[in-house]
This record gives sequence, structure tokens and C-alpha cells, in this order.
Amino acid sequence: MVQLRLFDTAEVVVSALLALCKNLSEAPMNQSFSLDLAPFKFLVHTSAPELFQRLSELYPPSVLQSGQNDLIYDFEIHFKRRFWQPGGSLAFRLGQQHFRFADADQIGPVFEWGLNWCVATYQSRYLWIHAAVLEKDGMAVILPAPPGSGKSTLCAMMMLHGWRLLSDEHCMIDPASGDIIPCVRPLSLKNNSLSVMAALYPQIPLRQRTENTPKGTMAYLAPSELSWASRTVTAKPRLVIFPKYNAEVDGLTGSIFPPSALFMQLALNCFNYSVMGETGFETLQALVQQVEGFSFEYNNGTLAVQQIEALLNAE
Amino acid sequence: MQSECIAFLKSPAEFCQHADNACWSRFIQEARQYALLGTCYFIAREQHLWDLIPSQVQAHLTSGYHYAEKQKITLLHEMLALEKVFTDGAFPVLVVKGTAYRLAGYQFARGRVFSDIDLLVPPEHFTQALHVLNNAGYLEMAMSAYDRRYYLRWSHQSPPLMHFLRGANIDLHHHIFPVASREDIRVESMISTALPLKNSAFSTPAPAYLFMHAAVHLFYQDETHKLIKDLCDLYQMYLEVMKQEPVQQIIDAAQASQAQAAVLYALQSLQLIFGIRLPEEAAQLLPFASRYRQWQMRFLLSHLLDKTSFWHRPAHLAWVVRGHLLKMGPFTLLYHAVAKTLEQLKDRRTLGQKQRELDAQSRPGDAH
Repeated sequence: MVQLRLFDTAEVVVSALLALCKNLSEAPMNQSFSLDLAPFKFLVHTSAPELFQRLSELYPPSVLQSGQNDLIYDFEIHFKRRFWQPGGSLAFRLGQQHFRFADADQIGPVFEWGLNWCVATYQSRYLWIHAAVLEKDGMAVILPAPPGSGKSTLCAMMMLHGWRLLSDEHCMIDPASGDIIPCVRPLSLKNNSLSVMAALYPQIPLRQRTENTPKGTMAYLAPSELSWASRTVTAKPRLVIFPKYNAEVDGLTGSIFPPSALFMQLALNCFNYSVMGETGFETLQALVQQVEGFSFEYNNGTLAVQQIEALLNAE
Repeated sequence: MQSECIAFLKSPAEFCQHADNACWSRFIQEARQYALLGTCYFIAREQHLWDLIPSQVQAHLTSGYHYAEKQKITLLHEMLALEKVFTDGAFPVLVVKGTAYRLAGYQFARGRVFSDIDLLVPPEHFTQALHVLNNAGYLEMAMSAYDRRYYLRWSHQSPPLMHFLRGANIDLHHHIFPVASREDIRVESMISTALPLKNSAFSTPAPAYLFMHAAVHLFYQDETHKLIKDLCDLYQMYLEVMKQEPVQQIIDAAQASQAQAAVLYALQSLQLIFGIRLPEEAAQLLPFASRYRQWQMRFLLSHLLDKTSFWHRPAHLAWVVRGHLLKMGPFTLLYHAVAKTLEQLKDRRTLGQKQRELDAQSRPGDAH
């Protein structure tokens, strides 16, 4: 076993020198900041100085703060360059878990997707339906839909018509109370949606436009002041609407979902329904008893928003 | 020692009373990384500490609980399918590691998560068992020719198997430590003393052998990414095994399996990290690890657990080298290191593209 001891000792010395060099070369480049999003708080360490600047266009100073505060952080993220890595210049990691590499020009969208991934992968305290949620007069509307159905565009239009945004992707239901927990984040818009929004609301800025992402062209719409100000206020679910943009439809057509079909459709749109087991089943059952479900096909967003308001007032 | 999870396990009430926000933040990250959220959930509930824990932390523990319960159901479902595969009882089939803790009803298995099902069969029946599993739809996953040969020639198990429909992973073992190693760890007594599960085709190792196996797995490994989880498991297992059997059984299991050094490291490390009383019987194992080796283990573990230590990274590398040397000896390791480097160099140009494709395919939940 003599070779073993010599080998061990040599390795210890060499790697100590390597560690020292690495620490010296890394130290001055890193920056830390925090995102105090309800209900999750993120602490981010990055070697990309432009990331904080980019995010400050999307998040208000009360949410995005440089440095580390005396808070409990749910997710500590490293978004850094690494000594050697295939696939891109920055790596998004949660602990030792790698999410994705990003080129320097795509750090905005990859960072936002990374936050979604953290919540989607590790959160099963709340039942999470992949849906947009907006609230008016204390009543919330849930808009679940697959990508490409125009959900984000409709969600953006509703927010610009005075609705409070709770989330454009994370509809989180508290199993204990049945209430919806807000998770306010910038609204992500893609491809056709960008030109539609630019034509309808030319005065509203779409920020961090990024071309050639795996999802096409992306840009973000900052949540309204009302949405940020009430970002910890929960809401009672009242309506579930499955929206679908269809250019062939004349105006708007819709149909009612019976509760059993609504249950199945919502379960299909849940990220953690199976993980939550019995709790997930009971939460979804309680939700279905509390709401009315509809599916919409529309070619005119304004009409769809008016119809949703009418349904809410008819309650 | 700087691990929050170890501090929690060692003294849950004290931890909950004194932890500040920074401490809880580190606790959440660590417990998530080492998949200990479910375990900590049960400890907090059983010891009536739930109300001392901030609601933000409770949310993560609850998430861990849900995930562990889901895995429990998935595991039992898969084991029911496996029961049908090994019905003839032609040779003993042991479930080992995490699956055995769960099936044998150990209390510390609640809240635990696992990545695959580990089976152990006598070496002479290995080919037969592999054939049976292949016929039942558990097939080898795609891997490079070199990696496959590595498994067949040097390791203690078949290349990992996956069910072609359900995606369940099985590691079929013929030994508990690589056959290329100069440590000749025996499995005969582990198999002959195994305890049959009621109404089942499977057995589980006796408690002392479970502990011995966990010690070999932990202290002869080359990886550090599950170290804290393994130490927490070992500590809880030790407390539970001690309630069932006298410590001499563990010493006997170590001697029958020729794993004396690993079990000595295990007992000494539990003393160092969790403050257990080192049993007097452990003296019987002292001749099997030199004083240098015992110092080396203390040095490596204490610096691996302390991320702020200057020696943290060197200890990590030394652990990797030590583990590999134990697994295959210096000459095979040299061959393996050169072969793997050449293989990666050949693939270098396509690695970036491959990584991007892998990234694009990743979905929520993959990380567990």
C-alpha cells in the first residue's frame, strides 16, 4: 500500500494549489443579489454583472435587492461561468443540481426558466396548476392552457385592463385553505404574441427582447404596480377558463365544463398532482366544487376579456 | 463540522430552538441537495418540534414528505411486479440498501428517497438472475462499449437495468464491492444469514449485515455528493440496529465479510460526527486499519464536511482518488484513467451539442 500513500499525499498538495488558484481567480468576479418573491425567496450568486441590470428592468427595487439580507432563502442559485464546460458560457445550478447552460445573450430567459424549474421541481407544498391567474373584486380566474393557445396574451390584456396578476404560470393552491397563493413574476410573451401586443398597446414597453431562444423570440412585460403591491394577498378561485385563440372563429364561442371533465382537465395541467397523492386529489376536488369551468375559442381578445368580466359579475 | 443537516439530526430540539435565518437557509439547501427533507419532516413531527420550525421551512419539509410518500408507493408497486419475476425460489434473491430498509420496515426509512432497486444474488446464480430480469423486460441502458466492459469486467454488478415500459431502474449485484478490488469482501455469510420477507420471493440482510454493507458503501466509495445523506442514514441505522442486536453482531458481520476496516471507520466516524459512544468491541477491528489510515479518514471527513476549510477541495480530490484506488488498485486505475480521458477527448467536439440536447430535454422533476 506504499504507492497509495505517496499518491494520496501528492494529490493533496497538487489539489491544494489548484484550489488556491481557483479561489483567487474567482473571488472578485462574483456578485450576489436576492429576489424577495412571495412565496419564495431566491438568493443568486452570479459571475455575469449584466444580469442584475437586466433584471432591474423587470423587478421593482422592493423585490430585487443587491447583497444578502437576513431572510430565510428558499433557493440559493449559482449562475456562473465555470472553468470548463461544454454547451455555453454560464451554468444555472441549484446546489449541485445543474439546470441549463446559457450563452451570454440569453441569460435573461434562461434565468427566468431556471426560477420556474426550481419551483416546479422542488415545491409540492402547494398544488401547482400550470395556469395564469388574475383577480378582480377578490375573485380569481384561472386560465390553464397548453403553450401556443394564447394564454399569456390574454393574461397580459386582462392585466392591462386593470386585473391584478397573481401569476402567468404558477397557479398554486393551498391545500389547507383552498386559496390561490400569488407568485408575481414578469409576464413572458413569445413570438406572435409580441406583435399582437405591440399592435394593441404600442405605448407599453416589452423588455429584454431575446431572439433565437429554444422557444423562439421572447420578451417580458413587467407586472402592474397593483400586482406587485398585493403580491402576498391570496385570492379565492371562482372561474376556470381554458382559452384558445382561433383566427377562424367569428368573435367568441364557448362551452361549459361539467365538474368531472373539469377535474380531469385540471389534473392534466398539474405539475405535482401525482406527487401530492391524496392531498392533491382532495385539493383539486375542493377546487372543482368551488368554481365554474368554461372553454373559450376567440379571435378577439378584447371580447374574451369582456366575456370573462361578464361571467364573473353574473356569479 | 458545518453541516446543518447533521446538526439537526444530532439534536433536533436544540437545532430548532437556536437556528437563525441564515442557518435555516443553509438547512433548506442542504436537506434538498441530500434528499433529507422527508426524513427531517418525520423527525420534526415525531419529536413535536413542528411548531418551532418557521412556516417557510415547513413548506419545504412538507414537499419532501409528499415526494417520499410518492416514491414509497412507486417502490412497492415495482416490488409487486418483481415478485412475479422471481417466483420459483431457485436461488436466494436479496434486496439490499434503500429498498431493504423500506421493505424490512426500518423506522429510519420513512421519508427516505432512493434512485433504484438494488438486488443481490449469489455469484453462481448471477447469469441466471440476469436472464430472468431481461425476460421480464428489464433491459440494459445505452452506454459506451468501454463503460459496459467496465461493469462486466471490474464492477460488482451488471450494467444498470431499466424496465422498458415503467422506467424502473434495477442494479443486479453479485458482490457488494468491485471484484477488481484488492479488498476481497465476501457475500456468502450475508446471503446465508438473510431474513426472508413474509410471503415474498425476497430476503433482506440481517441488521448487522445491513450496517456492514452501508459502511462499505460509504467508506470505500469515490463519490462525495451523497456523503452527508449516507452519514445521516448510517447514524439512524446504527441507533436502530443497536436496539435489535448486540454490537458484537456487527463486529462478527464485519469479520465474516472481511470488511473490518470499513466497519471500524463507520463506528469511529459516528463517534467523531454524532458523538456516539465507541463500543468496546470495536477494539477487535483496530488491527485492520493502521493509525495512519484512521487519521486519514478523520482528516478527510472533517474537511469534506466543512465547506469553509482550505482543505475542503483537496480532501474532495483525495477522497475520489482513494475511492478509485480501493475499487481497482493502482494499475487498473491508471489504465482506466487513460482510457476514460481518451474516450472523452474523442467526444470533446460533440459534448457541447450533446449537453444542449440533454438540457433541452430536462423536465421539472428530473432532478430528484
